[in-house]
Amino acid sequence: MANESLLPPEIEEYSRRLARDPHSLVFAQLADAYRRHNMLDEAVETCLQGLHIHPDYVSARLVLGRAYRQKNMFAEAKAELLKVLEVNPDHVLVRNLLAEIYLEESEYVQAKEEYEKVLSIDPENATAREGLAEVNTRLATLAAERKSPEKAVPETREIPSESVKEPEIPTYTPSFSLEDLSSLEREKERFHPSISFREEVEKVFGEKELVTEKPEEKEMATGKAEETSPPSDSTSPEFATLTLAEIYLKQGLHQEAIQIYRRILKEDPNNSVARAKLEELLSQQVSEEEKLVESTFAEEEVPEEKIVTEAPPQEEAPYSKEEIVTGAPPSEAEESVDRLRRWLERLRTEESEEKVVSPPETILEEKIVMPKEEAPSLEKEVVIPVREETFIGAEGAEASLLEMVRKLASIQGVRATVIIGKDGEVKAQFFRGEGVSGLKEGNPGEILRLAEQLGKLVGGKEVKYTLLETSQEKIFLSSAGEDLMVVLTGPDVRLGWVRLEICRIKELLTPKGKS
Amino acid sequence: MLEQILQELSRIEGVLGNVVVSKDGLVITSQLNSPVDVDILAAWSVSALNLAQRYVGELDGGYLLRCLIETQEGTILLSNMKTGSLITITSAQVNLGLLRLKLEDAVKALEKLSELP
Repeated sequence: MANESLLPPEIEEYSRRLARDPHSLVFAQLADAYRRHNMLDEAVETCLQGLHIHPDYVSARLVLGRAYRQKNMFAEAKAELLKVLEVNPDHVLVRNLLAEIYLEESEYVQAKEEYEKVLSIDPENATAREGLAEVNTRLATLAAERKSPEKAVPETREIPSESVKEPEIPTYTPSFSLEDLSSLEREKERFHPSISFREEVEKVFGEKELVTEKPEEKEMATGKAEETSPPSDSTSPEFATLTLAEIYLKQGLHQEAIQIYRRILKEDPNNSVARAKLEELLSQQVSEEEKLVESTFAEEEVPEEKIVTEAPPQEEAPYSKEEIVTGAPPSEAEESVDRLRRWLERLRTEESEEKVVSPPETILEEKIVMPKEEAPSLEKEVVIPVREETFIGAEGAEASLLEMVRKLASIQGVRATVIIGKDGEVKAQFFRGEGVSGLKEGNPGEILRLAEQLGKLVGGKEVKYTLLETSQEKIFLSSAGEDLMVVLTGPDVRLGWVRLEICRIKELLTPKGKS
Repeated sequence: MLEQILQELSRIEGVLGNVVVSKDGLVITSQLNSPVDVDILAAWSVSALNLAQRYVGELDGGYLLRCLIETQEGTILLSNMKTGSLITITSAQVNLGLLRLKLEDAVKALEKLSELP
């Protein structure tokens, strides 16, 4: 009893509510409160019990995943987070969490992938940007260690882009320990469980003892890895192996991978694996280009002819998707790759001179960092950065708060949404551009209370919402169950649509007895 | 003239009445077809508008034009004016889009009126 009285009030309150209705969804809030107060065993236990009744409640899975993570039970944490992603693949918070776990486990490739996915959903996501920079730094360090076994490269060292684009492939025995290799091996095996990463490294770096080449790779790699002197030119075809191309791919160096595949095809035009990979990569590039062109010109609404006239000269125009898919002969494929590369490079150079000479970290980010002037076109996408404590659906609600916020965010003109709990804590929020801390300050609850008094005065039973219209924006305030919802929109928002959505959310969040 | 502006608004289907209130919450004129305590309505409305203006100001949201309170049974529109406020009460069946447009005209007209010597 003495311990119970020391419990934080929110835990007491949620416990009381859960005791009143053991089938309530409030278990997730209780578990999250436990988690935030570092009562991790209680958090896990509460989640597991609740999920036994509500197995589809993804918010609870997220809480469970985070609790496991705090307990350093990474495998369990990942399993829960992946379940959330099955339901909501664009959940940036979950992807960031996953990436952090991968990073802690030194699974850099997966971490990088997750961060990149977050940035493709939310290009301004600071967590993902910082995380990606961290991953790239670690990858670059690892790569440098592989290249210079006696001189480990410090993490902060800037590696010239040229050296990353055209790395020298060392043929000496790698210096890193088997322990180092094991962590990399784990990464690799997650991607291609059928191929041992150790085998690949040994093929590339020249250790013969454990080499067990795949049949289709064998003839490409034969003898190359056994050479003792490093090649003077890293682009030399003698190092063009499928394995090397795959390693480039994993590091995000697609251009280099393409070059390797081209060289393989030059030597062996019948290599079907290389051809398939090259075609796949080229197709990806074409779609990336299309996106780039769309985002570059969409804002200006340039007519199609104009895009054509501004495109590179005919001989440098990118290869059309159809041509690639139908399988051009190797020489044509090479030409197309060259044209494509030149055209992309020109585009990038036009965007920013610095990017051409930026360190590898920046180059790797280049795919997802859009220039400032292109950012508005990305705003059409739903971007939901969510605070740490937010995502819990209220008692009796069928959908999670995050889903509701997402729905509101999809309405054109909505700039921000905040759902504030009765204790003043932000439960879920969404915003575009700048933060929205001001929405919570300034006592919106007091305005709502006055509005409710006015509503009752004129005979209204319940206020659906209060709308504040200003010269620059519109602000919807609405009580939703015990929570308060604030939606900030631009001046040209479709009021009717926002109103409908707010009323729907209000209905969902209001306990049935009260409505 | 003042009465005329309010009558114009009252012609819109669903509008139950209008009240013009000074900045300090005192009733200037009232045309209400419902049994509401106008003084309380005026006082609370001005309080709500002041609070809302302060909130909007903290957000750098610009000048507060109006505050709309929608209930199941109808809507209260508090239009902010330089010299006071205009309160409009409607039933649930009102055409809010039309009313908002008419209110803009009415507010302009009332503000112009208040500028007269």
